[in-house]
Amino acid sequence: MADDGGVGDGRDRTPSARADVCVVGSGPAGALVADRLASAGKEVVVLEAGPRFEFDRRREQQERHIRPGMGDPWEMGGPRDDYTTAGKHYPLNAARVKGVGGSTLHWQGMVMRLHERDFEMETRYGLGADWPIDYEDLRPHYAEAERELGVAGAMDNPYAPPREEPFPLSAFPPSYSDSLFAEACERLGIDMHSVPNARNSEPYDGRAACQGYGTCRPVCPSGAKYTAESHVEKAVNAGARVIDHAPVQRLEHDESGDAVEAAVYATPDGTERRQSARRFVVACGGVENARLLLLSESERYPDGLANSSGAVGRFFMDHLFAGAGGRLDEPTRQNHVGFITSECHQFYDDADPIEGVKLEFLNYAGPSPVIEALHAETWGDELLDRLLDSYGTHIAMGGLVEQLPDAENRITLDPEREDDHGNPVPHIEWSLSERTRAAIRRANEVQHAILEELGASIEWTVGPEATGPAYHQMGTTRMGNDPAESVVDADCRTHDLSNLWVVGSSVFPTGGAMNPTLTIAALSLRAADSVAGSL
Amino acid sequence: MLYPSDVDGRREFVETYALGRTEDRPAYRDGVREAAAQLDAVARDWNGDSYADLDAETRDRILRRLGVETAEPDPEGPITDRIRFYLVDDLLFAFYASPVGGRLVGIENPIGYPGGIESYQRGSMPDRDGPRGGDGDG
Repeated sequence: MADDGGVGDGRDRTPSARADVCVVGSGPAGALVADRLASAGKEVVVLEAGPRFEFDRRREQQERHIRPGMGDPWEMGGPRDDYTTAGKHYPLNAARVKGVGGSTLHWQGMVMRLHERDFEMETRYGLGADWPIDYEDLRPHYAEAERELGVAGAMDNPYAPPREEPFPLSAFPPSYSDSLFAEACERLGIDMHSVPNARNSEPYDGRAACQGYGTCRPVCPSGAKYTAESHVEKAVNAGARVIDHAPVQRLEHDESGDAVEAAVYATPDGTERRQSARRFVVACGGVENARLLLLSESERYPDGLANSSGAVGRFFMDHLFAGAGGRLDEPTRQNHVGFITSECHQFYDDADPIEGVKLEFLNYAGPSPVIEALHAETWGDELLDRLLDSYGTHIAMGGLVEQLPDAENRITLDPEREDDHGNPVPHIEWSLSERTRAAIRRANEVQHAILEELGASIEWTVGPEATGPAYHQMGTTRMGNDPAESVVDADCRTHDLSNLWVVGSSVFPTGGAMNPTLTIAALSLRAADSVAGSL
Repeated sequence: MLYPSDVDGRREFVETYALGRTEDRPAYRDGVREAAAQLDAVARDWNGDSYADLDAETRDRILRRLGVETAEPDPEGPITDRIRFYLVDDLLFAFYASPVGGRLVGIENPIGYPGGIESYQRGSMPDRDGPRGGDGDG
């Protein structure tokens, strides 16, 4: 019987012999790097803190999402995932998933490229920080990432950054409610266009076409929504080894402090094991990337690994949600699908506010009858009457607003609380500036103008007070040319240690207001080239 | 009486769709059985008859007296919470996450049921007896 680390599934969880590359985390960043390197013939070991979620259980997980009392379908929470916050509350465990596939297991799947201005906010506006690369540097990797993820999209967005090649899959056509919005937007001179979705509009890459289960976030039972499970599987087929239930406790460096020697991971039986490798890639998400570096403090690096700049954990950012909605006096046909089909990027590059603002036309406004039925305190005819009254005429807009980097928004270790392995939990200090609030108000103004033109009675607004994060954790291991001010270089390699890369949205110096995953994927493919080139 | 009164074929729906849904989940099925047996015991105790043999009004009254309408569904909670979870919510989920229940409210492909990709562009719900996919589906 293999040493399964106390999981009980008989899978060997002992370390491999010294690997070429050890990847920590199997979300989109880690999975793409692992696949790329394994396919190039490198020996790759992936360490994943969470479990594998078998695909044949997705319908049951979907039921867990819809029905109260069944718990989180992705099993987040508890001592393993504990954290503390200060300032504006950040609901970390609603914002991430630990497991093979990472947060793409529960994401919605919106995949836009950042705009050219996003890479040079300091130069253009004296705000935030410039990236050490520009749009042209990332452009070929964006195209590659779109092929890897299988992006359905159309070339109808006049505000998108330049591109030549069409999307790999045709876009999902506009929804019925998009057609209602379209008339109002046309009268106001506001442009609507398609949304790039990492979701199969037709079968692609061995996965099915979307069937419209309506629960994209958090569970897609058809497999049409891209998850990083796809690239983990490819990596394994190319020879990579994935060890799940294996949270990495710390990275250990050599005597000189120039290179990482091993990733020390723990299995559920409490045993610590050492995976050694020639190269290490940290890919655990925007909070855990910083936390792992901080947990890896040593005599040589008392402030944490790769932290000679002091920037590890700092400049934590998310996108802020802005929205408004109400009712029309006609059917709006909501909640048939769980993704959106139209957006407006017209205001994104404006200088007033300078913060990026992205507007979304929702296809899931108002309650879904089944979810409302399960929360109702009645049944039978009375319940049906209630559902008839509440379903049918809701309409809503959402949107994302940029948050500029602020050193005081940060991830640290909380010495007062420990996780299930005795490590200090992450502490999140997060607040919104007046600038961010003003940008949210601007998004609300446009949303109200459109809804009013549409003739909707506006019933709710999510503005600067009610806003919350879009669950895009960014900025905590920022990329830059200057080792005194940044953690990784343009290739995502740490300035301080020669064999350590950090990938994911933690490397974003600024975050724009576009959903980050396509940029995560593009940067990861670029970083994989850099790792491969170093071997 | 959990389903609206003018729905035809309620028993058939429960037997085929609702029960079939959890066929490969033995622990869940045991939970359903146990909650049903306990509800039955309450019915015999209070009304001298098995729950299934009582009229709809009495069955409704028993559930409300037990506090099931305001109970927190919990598979491991006290009997009231388990009745809400394994019996009431199970049947409401099966019904309103299917076109049978969805259509009554105005959505032929409710969340939890595949098919929204065919219906999300339509401005109205096609006739129940019309071809699957309805108008514009070519």
